[in-house]
Amino acid sequence: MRFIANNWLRDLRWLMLINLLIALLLFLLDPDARLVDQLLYAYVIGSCIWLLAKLLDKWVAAWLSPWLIQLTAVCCGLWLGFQLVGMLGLPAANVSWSALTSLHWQQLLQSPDWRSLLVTLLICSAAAGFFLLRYQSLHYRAALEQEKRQRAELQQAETSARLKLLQAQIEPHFLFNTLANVQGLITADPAQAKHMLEQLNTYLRASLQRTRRQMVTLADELELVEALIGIARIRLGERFSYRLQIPAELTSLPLPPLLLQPLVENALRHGIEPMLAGAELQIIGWQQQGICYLQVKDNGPGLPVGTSQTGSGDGVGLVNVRQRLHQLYGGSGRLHLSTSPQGGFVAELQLPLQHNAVTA
Amino acid sequence: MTATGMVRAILADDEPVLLDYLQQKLSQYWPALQVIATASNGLAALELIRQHQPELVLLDIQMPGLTGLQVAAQLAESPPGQPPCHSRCVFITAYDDYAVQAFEQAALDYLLKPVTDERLQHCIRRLQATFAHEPAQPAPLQLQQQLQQLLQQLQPTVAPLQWFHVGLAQQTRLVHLSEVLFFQACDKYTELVTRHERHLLRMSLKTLLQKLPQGQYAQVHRAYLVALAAVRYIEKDIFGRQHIHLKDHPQLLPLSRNYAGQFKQM
Repeated sequence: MRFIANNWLRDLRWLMLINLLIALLLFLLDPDARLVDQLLYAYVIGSCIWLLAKLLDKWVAAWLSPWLIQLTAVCCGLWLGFQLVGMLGLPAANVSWSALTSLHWQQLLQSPDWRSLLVTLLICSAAAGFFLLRYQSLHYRAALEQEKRQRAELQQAETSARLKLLQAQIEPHFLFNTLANVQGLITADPAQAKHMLEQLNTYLRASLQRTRRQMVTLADELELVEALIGIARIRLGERFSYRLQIPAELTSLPLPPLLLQPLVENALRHGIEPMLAGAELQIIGWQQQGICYLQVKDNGPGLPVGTSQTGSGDGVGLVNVRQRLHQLYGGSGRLHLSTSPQGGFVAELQLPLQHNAVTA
Repeated sequence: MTATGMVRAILADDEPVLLDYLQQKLSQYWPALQVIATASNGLAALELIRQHQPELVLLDIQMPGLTGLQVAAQLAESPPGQPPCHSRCVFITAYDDYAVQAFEQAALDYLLKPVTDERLQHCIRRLQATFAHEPAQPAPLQLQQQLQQLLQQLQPTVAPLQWFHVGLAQQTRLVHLSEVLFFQACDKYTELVTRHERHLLRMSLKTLLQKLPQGQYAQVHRAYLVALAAVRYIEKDIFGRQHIHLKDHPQLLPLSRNYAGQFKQM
């Protein structure tokens, strides 16, 4: 992980400030020292350490921990700094400096000024540590910002998905066709017209309420599905037959709303309506090893091949169901889509019977 | 118009209730109109129209077999050996903002379902005027072109590849193109990776690239094909190697130098 932010100018300002403070501190601690000398030492050494730290981070950040990099930078930077200072013509402040620069360890340990050397080392380490902590905090702040942004994006995506769901629910083509049928039936067969209106009512009310409720029962969802099918039967007449086969004990299963309905709508629209005659829709449910299976089968043209009669939007509703399943059930809820060998389309929902709510 | 000035019509709608209702209303507001046949799908409609050559045809758009527009387009084409079609078409549609606009542009008659009495009467008056003043004309070339155009507009061709048959042995599954984040070559097969699943597809990467819609997918490596919509950003590491970060998947895809050029503008 790279801690060094790429904002060199800002870092430079901090560096100058720290160097100044170090110089002042050294000047105050040592009565014999001259401020100018101390400033020079501080700036040269400080800059060396800092530069070294930056370069090391760029090259070896993948292999060494940040603290190790700083430590190396401090040691090498100190040494380099002293060399430079020497080259600039300043006299080595005391024996220990010169011992250090020439790396005479024996001499160093015996010299009386090793304390001041240690002080310098400590100060440099402290400064390096300061920089490191600062970078770390910057990094964490950036990570926090990113997470905030991601969460906002997620929320937005969720809201827009909800809106889309709402918009997509009442499909105008379906609605107006149904109303036209009701209009046609009012004088010809008023009882049938009334029946159709009731079913439309059920469908609309359920659809509009759905997005607000977290969970419904399978029985509720089936009520909605049956209203849909009832309307389709009147509209399409003889050329459509259906079969509903769900065991009674499954109907109390709690499940999120609008999982089964899009499958049925899809089957009606792309499987049943395009058929000239003999269209069949089957809704079958069973449970096995803790999983509830719900299958919507039609014997229609399967996948739209070539020009689609109903235009764009094929499959998008199904993809949404899949996404919602993953959101709500994690990996244990699935939607399997396949074409059966005799032709036709099969959409199969797999839901765990014991559902621990994954998200609210 | 027949010699006696009678207007004959054929109605086509796949929903029996609506067909009955339309017939009833027509007999109410245009008693002189003779409905000689009805059809409940596009294929039957086309055949009946060709057989009887009525002056007027009312076509529901959404019908199994052939849609109303397809029927009209085929009539306008007048295949060789057949007399040119004189029938005037009126389209019936449940709801389609876009279609209505297109109809208005092409100056074709249309009716919206549910059909109000007022709107139907207005349409009838218009038709009656047309039949009274002009002798029946074969569909002009212009009309043919208009219909073809309408067909293109209102029935966008499905993308060449939208669904994948994936999986092995007996059960094939279906995965929609929009779910796929990237494709990864795997020996002779290709792995399809969606947000939560991986599937095997029996198609080479090269074949795949040819079939995918243009401009939405890019090959980023000898073995990887990515959906551009799934890319979050591209990162360059210190050695100059580039990697693609995806929005919804933790896997990093390598971007090889050969294919890096297409991303230069980003």
